[in-house]
Parts: sequence; structure tokens; C-alpha cells
Amino acid sequence: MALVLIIEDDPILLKMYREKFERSGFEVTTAVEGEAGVFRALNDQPDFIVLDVMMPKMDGVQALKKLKENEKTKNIPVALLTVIPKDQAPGLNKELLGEIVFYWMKDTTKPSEVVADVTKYLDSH
Amino acid sequence: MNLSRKLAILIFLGVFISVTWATLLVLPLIDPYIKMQTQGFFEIVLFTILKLIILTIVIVLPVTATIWVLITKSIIKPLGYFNEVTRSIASGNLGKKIEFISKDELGELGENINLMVKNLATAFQSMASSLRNEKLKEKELEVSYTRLEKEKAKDEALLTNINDAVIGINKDSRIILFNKAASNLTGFDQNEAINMPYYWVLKFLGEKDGVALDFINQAFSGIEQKNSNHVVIEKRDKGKIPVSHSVGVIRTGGQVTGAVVVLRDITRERELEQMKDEFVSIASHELRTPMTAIKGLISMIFEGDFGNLSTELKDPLSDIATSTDRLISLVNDMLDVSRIEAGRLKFILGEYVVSDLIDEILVLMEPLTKEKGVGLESTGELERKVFTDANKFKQILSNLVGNAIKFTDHGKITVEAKLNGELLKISVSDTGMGISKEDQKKLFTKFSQITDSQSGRPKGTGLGLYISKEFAKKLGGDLWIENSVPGYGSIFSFSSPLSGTNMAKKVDENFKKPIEAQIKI
Repeated sequence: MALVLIIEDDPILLKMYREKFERSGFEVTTAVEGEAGVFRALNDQPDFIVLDVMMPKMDGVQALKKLKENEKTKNIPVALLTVIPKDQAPGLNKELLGEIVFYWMKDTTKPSEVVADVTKYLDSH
Repeated sequence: MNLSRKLAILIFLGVFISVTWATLLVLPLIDPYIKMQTQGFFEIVLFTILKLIILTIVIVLPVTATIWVLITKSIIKPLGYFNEVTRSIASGNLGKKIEFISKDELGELGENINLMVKNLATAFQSMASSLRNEKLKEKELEVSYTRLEKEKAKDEALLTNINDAVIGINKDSRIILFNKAASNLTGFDQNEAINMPYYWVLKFLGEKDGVALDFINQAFSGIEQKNSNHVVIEKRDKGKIPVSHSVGVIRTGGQVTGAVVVLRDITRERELEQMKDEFVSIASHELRTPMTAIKGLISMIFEGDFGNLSTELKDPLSDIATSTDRLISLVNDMLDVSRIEAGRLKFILGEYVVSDLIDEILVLMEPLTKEKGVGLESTGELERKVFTDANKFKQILSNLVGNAIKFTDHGKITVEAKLNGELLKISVSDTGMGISKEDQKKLFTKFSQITDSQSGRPKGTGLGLYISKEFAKKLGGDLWIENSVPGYGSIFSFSSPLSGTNMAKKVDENFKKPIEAQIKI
């Protein structure tokens, strides 16, 4: 069973994504902000990380940077869940964007689509 | 003793002596006719004296009197008259004239005196009138002076109390006017700033990168100045204050002879803008999170993740989903509008084959058209490359195609690419309900909406076309309605510069400029 790490600060959304992934046969581990998320990633070595961008304390972009800088986590595929369009996100330069597998707009992407994308990716890699 | 008496005495003496001499001469002739008695010396003398007395009374006095009267009349009296008149004149009465008319020297004297008086009178009058004029002029001068003083005081009061810094610069780039607000803003005293070259006192920095356009210099060179507010002034003590500036150029006879710079401290406005931006971004984020949850959970319910869905629940849940979608669109649109208006929209420009962009949108929209039984296709010069911001291009296209789908129930929707000079025109035509001429007028304004003829509910957020048009214009093109006939369909078009053209270059350069220098293409 593949392990997915979901880093998302809103409890309801977190519950929703977790529910969908578990129903689709994934194991799920979670974190509610960036720093804890990086810690989880190091510890649990998930197969995929779903990352929310806007969070208190350490936000998604910083967490992404940390994940990609760390030897132990830089190879884990990361996808971004966000409300900010790609071109308006502060701090997201071309380089970082290149390290991201998917860029999901939260408000128009259904949980089933998120799961489908992750499944397809893991199946082909 | 007056002239008259002197004259009388002289005449008397004259006549008396003459008569005496005459008598002495005549006496011996008369003597033989008078009884000569040899009398003593005493008697002769007495007799002589007696004779003299008689002569005096009988001859000398009358003659004297006559001569005196004659002389008095012809000389003394006129003189007295002259005297009287001239005395009167001397006491200020210049109107008096000498009436005496005689043909001799006295008459001439009289005339001369009259002339003299006349000249005096004229001179006096002209002197009096010039004096009056002088007095009048003085009065006028005093009035204008007071007025000027008042105006000056008013101007000074105005300049001193105005909150904006006003700096006057002459054609040698030196400061000639520097009000109190300018002093406060720059940290230089008025007397320190006057006559200094303006760039010693006014130091400007760009907000972000430390380099500011010398807009004052530009104004002098005749380059039109926009009122801009992305400049920071560096005070004497190195403190920085964001200002909004505008420059008015002074021309004399077509030449620029000076400039007036007005600066306003916009620290407060900046703070407010920042607060607004923060609010908008926080609000939009905060709003979207719960909406994402609603939408996501509903989709999961429909997908059976929470058990079987009873048929009665399907419709209401579907409506909830649609409503949520509308909310989400509205929030996104409002955020876009807010960013457009603040000039904070980021554009990432590049070259794209137009078919790539179009296909992405068509693929996205296909399920919707299939659902409605409406055809969807693209045609035309699809292999052309455009110079644009991919996301925004797609947003415009998706807005137009989305609208077409909304208002079309049968037939087909076509996306056609056509060459139009340096631009590529993309037309989205549908066979839908069309838009009446009245409604067409309101199309591109904010929150204009076309109501669904069946349900009476407005379709869409009302911001889509406004935003799309703004995007199209910023990217060097435009968005417009080509044609629309109620009952037949509509054609909406937008244009984008082809890559490699001058227009594309212009757009690229425009975006590279700092915001305050960007022009509306």
C-alpha cells in the first residue's frame, strides 16, 4: 500500500482528502503545518506528498524548499494544493515549480481528481 | 509819505520857485506903476514878502493844484489802481484784471501785468492739476500696493498651509520656490533650498530597486508626465517617504522656462493599500477553503464515498454544488479585478503555438458541450505563434467559450484563428440565443449580467468579460463583440500579438518598465 503524506492546515479539508485517499486504498499520514510536515516526511518516508501552500508558521513554499534540500526527502514526489494561481504565488520561482509534480487549484479540483492524479503518477513511476 | 504827497510838495516847490523868479524879473517892470516910497529896507522887504504871499495865493497855489491834479489823474491814479489790483492778485485773487486802457507806457504796463497774471494763472492751474494727478496716482498706487500685499500674503498663506510640497524650478534647474511642506518633506530649510539645483535637495529613489526616473528632467525635455506614486523621496537624514508626484511645466513663447513640482506624502495611503491587499488575499484564501470543502465533500457524496445516495438528495446536492461553483468563480473574479485595479497583476510572457493554448481549453470544455449536445471545434490559422501570457490567454478563451456554452443549447461552437496584421484574432462563435443591442452595450462593464430568459436568474458572475477585456488590452490586443443576432448566435473576438512582431516587442518592453512608466498600449 502506498503511503501519502498530506500537509494541510484546514482540519475539514484534511479530513476530506484523508477520507478519499483511504477509500482509494492508500495509507495516509498527516501534518497541519510545514515544519511538522517536513518532520513527518523524514520520519515516515511517504511515497507521495500532497502539500498545501498557505499555512501558518512555515508555509508550503518554505516546506517545499526544505523538502527538496534534504537528501532524505528530495526524491519524494510533491504536488501542491492551493488557491493561488501559479503566476501569482509569491516565492514560487521557475526552479521550484519545476520540482512539483502537480499544481492543483483547490477550489476547482475534486478530491477524486487528486487521488486519480497521484495514483496515475505512482503507477507509472 | 506817499507818492501823492511827495509829488504835491515837489510841484509846489517847483511852481513857487518858478513864480518867484518870474516875479523878481517882472517886478522891476511893474514898479513904476506902483507908488514907490522911499522907505526903509524893512518896509521894502515887508512889501516884497506881501507881494510873494499874494502871488502864492493867487498864482502858485492854483497852478500847483492844477498841475497836481493833472499828474495825479494821469499817473498817480493809474498807479494806485495798479497797486490795488496787484495787491489783490498778490493776495491770491488771480482773476482780477487791469481794466485801464491807454495807449502810453502805463497802458502797456497794464497789459503786461495782465499777461503776467494770465501766465501766472495758467501756470498755477497746470501746477494745481498736476498736483491733483500726482495725488490721484499716489492714491491708486497705494491701493494697488495694498492689494498686491494682500494677494502676496494670501499666496504665501496658501503655500505655507498647503499640505503638499510645492517646488518651483527655473530653467537653470534651480529652486525658486520652496514651501513649508517641501521643507518638512525634504528636511531642508526654505532658505537653504532656494537657488540650489533641484537635484541637491530632491532625492528620489524607486520603490523597489533604488533607481528612480528623473521625472523632473523628463518634464523639462517635454516628455509628458503621468501623475505617479511609486517613488520614494530621501530626506536629508536619509529617512525615506513614499510620495506621489506631478510636474507642471511652465512655457513662455513655446519654450520651457520652468517647472512646478508637487509632491504628496502617501505613507498613509500606502499603509491603507497594504492593509487592503492583505485583507483581500486573506479573505480570498479564507473564503476558498470552506468552499473547497463543500465542493469536495459533495463530489465525494456523489461518488458514493459516504454510502448510497438517496434519489431525493441528488437534486438539492447538485444545486448546492452549482451554487458553490458560482461562489468560487465570484471570489476568483473579484480577486482578479482587485489585482487589475491595483496594477498588481503579474504577467509572464512567452511564445506559444496558439493551437496548444486553444486545445487545452477545448479539452476542458468538451464534457460540458457533450452534455448539452453542442458541437465544439477549432479552425483557422492554428499553427501561428502568439506572444502572450499563457494563463491569461487561456482564461480569456475559457471565459468566451464558457459563455458560449452557457447561452447555446443546440448547434455548435467554433473557435477560429485569423490573421489581422500584427495580431492574431481568435473568434468564438456560437449558435445560441444571441444578445440584444441594449444588452450588448453593457457587456464589458463590471457586474453586467444577462439574465436567463427562462429562469430569470443571471448567468455568470458579471465580471468575466470585464476581466477578459482588461487582460486582452494589457497584452497588446483587445476583446470585442463582432456580431450578435438574437435567436441566431453571437461572435466574440479577442486579439493577441503574433510573436516576433513590433507589437509583441512593445508589449514586452512595456512590462519591463516599472509600473509607473507603463503606458496603456
